[in-house]
Amino acid sequence: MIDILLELKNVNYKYKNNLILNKINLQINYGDKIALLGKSGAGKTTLISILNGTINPTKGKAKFFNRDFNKLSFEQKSKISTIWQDLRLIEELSAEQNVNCGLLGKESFLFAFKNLLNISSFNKAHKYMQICSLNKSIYSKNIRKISGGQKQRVAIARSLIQESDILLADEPFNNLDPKLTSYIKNLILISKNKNKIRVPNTILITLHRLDLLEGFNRIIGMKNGEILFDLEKNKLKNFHLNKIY
Amino acid sequence: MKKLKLTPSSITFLPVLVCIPLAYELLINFHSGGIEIFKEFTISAINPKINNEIIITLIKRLNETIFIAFSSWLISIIFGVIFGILCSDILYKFLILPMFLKRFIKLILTITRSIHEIFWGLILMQIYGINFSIGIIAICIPYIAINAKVFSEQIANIDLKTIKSIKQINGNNFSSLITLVWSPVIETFKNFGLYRLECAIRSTTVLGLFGIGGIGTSIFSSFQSLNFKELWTYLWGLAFLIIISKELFKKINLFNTPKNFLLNFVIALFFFSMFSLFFFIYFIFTKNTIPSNSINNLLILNSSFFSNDFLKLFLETIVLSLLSTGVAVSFPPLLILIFNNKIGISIIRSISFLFRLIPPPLIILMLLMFNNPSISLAALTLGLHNAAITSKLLLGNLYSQDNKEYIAMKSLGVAKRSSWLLGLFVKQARSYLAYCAYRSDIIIRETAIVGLIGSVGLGWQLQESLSSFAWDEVIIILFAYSSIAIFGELINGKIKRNLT
Amino acid sequence: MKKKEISFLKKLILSSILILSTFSGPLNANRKVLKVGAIPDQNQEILDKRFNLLSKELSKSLDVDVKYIPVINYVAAITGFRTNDLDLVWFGALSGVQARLQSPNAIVIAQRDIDKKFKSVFIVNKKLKLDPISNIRGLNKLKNLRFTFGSENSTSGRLMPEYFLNEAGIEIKDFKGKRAGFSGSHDATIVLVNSGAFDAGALNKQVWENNLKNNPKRTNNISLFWITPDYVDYHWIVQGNLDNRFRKGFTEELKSTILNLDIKKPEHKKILEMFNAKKFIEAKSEDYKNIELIGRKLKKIR
Repeated sequence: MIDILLELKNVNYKYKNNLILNKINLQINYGDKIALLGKSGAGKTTLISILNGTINPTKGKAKFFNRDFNKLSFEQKSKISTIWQDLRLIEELSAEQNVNCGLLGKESFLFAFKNLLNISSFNKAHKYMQICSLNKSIYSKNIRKISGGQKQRVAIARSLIQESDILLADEPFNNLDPKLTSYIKNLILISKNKNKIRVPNTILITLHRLDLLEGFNRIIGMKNGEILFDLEKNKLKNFHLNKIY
Repeated sequence: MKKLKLTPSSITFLPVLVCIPLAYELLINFHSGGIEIFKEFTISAINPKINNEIIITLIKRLNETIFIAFSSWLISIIFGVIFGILCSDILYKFLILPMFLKRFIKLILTITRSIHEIFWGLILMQIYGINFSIGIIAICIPYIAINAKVFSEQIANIDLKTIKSIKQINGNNFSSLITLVWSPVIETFKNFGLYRLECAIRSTTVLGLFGIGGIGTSIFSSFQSLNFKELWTYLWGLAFLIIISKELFKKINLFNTPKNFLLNFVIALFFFSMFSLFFFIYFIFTKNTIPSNSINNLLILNSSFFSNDFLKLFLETIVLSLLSTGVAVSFPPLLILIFNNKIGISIIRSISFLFRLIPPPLIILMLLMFNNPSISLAALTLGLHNAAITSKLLLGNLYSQDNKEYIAMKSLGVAKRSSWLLGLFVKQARSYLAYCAYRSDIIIRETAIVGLIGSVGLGWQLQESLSSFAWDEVIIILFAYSSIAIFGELINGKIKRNLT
Repeated sequence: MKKKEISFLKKLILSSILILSTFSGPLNANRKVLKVGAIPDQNQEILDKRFNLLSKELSKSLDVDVKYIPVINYVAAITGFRTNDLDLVWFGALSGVQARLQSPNAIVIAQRDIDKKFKSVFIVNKKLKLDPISNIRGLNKLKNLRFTFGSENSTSGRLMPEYFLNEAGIEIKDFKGKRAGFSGSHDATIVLVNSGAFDAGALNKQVWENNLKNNPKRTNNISLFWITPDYVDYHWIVQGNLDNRFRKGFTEELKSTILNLDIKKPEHKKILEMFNAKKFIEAKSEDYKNIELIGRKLKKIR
């Protein structure tokens, strides 16, 4: 078993001449529960995009399971799942179809086809939606017609159904009320939960609410595209936080 | 003096200026010699011929029409989607294919689109003789290209971010691709598919006028022998078909059908399209093609053909399309403005239905009863036929929109016509104009139809060259024709982009 | 393989067989059918009756299946003959020559008695107050008028009238608008001249006389201007390979069946009446040499 799952070495990322990430060095190990802190514009979203392979670093190296991204097998690629800040659900499809999209990595072309025709099996999708405390009444509703909080949970369900090893989540608690937030957080962070679903062992979540730090074992702080600190949870002090906010 | 400000609403009324030259030429050419024939024609409309024999032919012809129209519609939608995906960026994001392939496909589609289905029909008929499949292939070729354009435009609207997020799930490439393009394709099909079916029926009819089969053939032969009662039997039959097909499709909601049936239906569709593809290939290669001597003729270009006459025909075609676009754009809003009451609008609705129903070649032959052949007459014909189509759209949009501004204006005591203009029309002007820009693409191509009969423009020359089996001339005319159409499409594309 | 996918495959195969069998019907058309066609020079209804009657008679006396395939376009008839979609076609003089140039093996078998001495008429709108002429030179009076022919490939409605106009020194560009119209059919020419849309036109003499008799309303405003000299017109043409396809001597049998139609037999009389003929007579391709020359001169044959 390789312990280092994702690794960034001296990564720079430039967009239209603005340096968005600067000399990032990061290792994500098996079992890490990382909270990524930082003001908006600190480069958190870009970092996540590099970590899931959607964009390539301008300079430096990104290794996934000790390989380059484009040398990964499909199976390996599908071990990384993402919850995007802007959710990126497919607007025209229903909630359950969107959740089923998470299964595309595991299932055949026929499944994708049946999903679009609305004739595939939705049992698994429904199970995950139920776990994300989504009400039955919205299962077959169009994504456009449901509320922001419900959409957020659909996106979470879509990423959980992938049964990946690594979950990258960009502000996944954005539209949720406090009660739901703690419920979903526990769902993601506590691997052995009562719902008997497989939850990724390794997690990286960007946050801006400090009261949610409980349950994480590693905290990373970012500012202006640089990593300012990378600590174990119990070593985090107030002055660390003052540096980034 | 204040300058006239160009807003979408004023642009829609401006083209009415084409009426000045049009009316001038039509007035000096007016004659009343055909009044008897016209009387006969109109009286026959309410007194069509009905007996067992004609009903049987009517049903047979309608059957053929349905078969040609429906299969060409289906094939053109299916392959339209396939080609639409082939020439949209998204495919090249998922599969590693060279970009020149996309540009190449786009070019081919633009060229095939620029030539009207009638031309395709006439040429194919020339090469393969009389055959049922000719009609289907002739309609399919330009329709596939048109549908591909529409679908690829819709697919291009998919959010780049969504593409990335689906890509990140790392499914099999085809699964991800189909998941992404599915919704835009279905949405476009819902909005656009039905309209294309009506177009296919109309195209089948017009192709029939040139001998390909179906109801058009009967309409034309009864018109040629001036058997108006029979003619109206066929025309009403066609009207019935158009109305029924529309109502039926409104009723059938594919997405509420039992699930297994739906899957089988889709599989059947897939095989139908594959089969039709193989059939076309079989058809093209088994029939003996153009005789060799005419291929030799292609190489010896007839230089005398490039005379002033040809240039004149070329210019005529351009003027014809400009004039008819003017009529098609400005007439509907103007007429609705003038006759702005319930009776007026229902009259406009029924007249525009008639002008949509009666194929343009027939309209022009009827107008010839009162006028001498001229560009203006051909322009009026084409303009009226297309105005009937644009007015349908305009009326549909005007009265389905929210009318609170209109009511507010009326309650302010603003005159009915002004409040219509400011409360209802202004909101639609932009989208109406965008549609008209698209329509004018079609008008340029349709100049072929009236040209063939009204003895103006390139259409006339094409018929003459085709019937003399002069392939060199045919090629030149097609080239000239498609260059006008492509040029027009470029201009319209610019206008559309400015409008939206 | 999973059970599910097997059942899916089954469905695929089943539905494809179903569809293939539905649509492949036209592919296996029977080759042992004699396909008869004709140029659309008349009302379709008349043509249908005429050729269905004839097909029945041919089928009876030759003991093969005969099918009449209606064609609405001159060009389609010529191409249909070239592509073997039609075996026996009733062509006009010009279309027949065009067809034979494209299918060199074709054989001319017969024409009607009247086809040896066929005529066209020139008609003018009464408004113009033009008197009938007796000499071809009188055609000069048509200069600067709006003139219409019938169909582009019609011998009596286009080729011969244009030939005679040329003989009289008039070219197409001498007409108003430097162009002549094509009404599409002989009947349409009458209506368009009658209405005044065109000042003058030319058409088949038979059709003109029929209209004078049956539709006086439509000829109210027209006066006869000139009747052309005689020329040859319609003829039957068959494919050269019929003997191979059916049986030895088939073409000869077919020819004699047509030539032996006898006005004294009631069922034959009906057919001949539909053709406006007393009998069919032998015809040779040499009879049409002159038409070919004219066609080449007027660029209808390249």
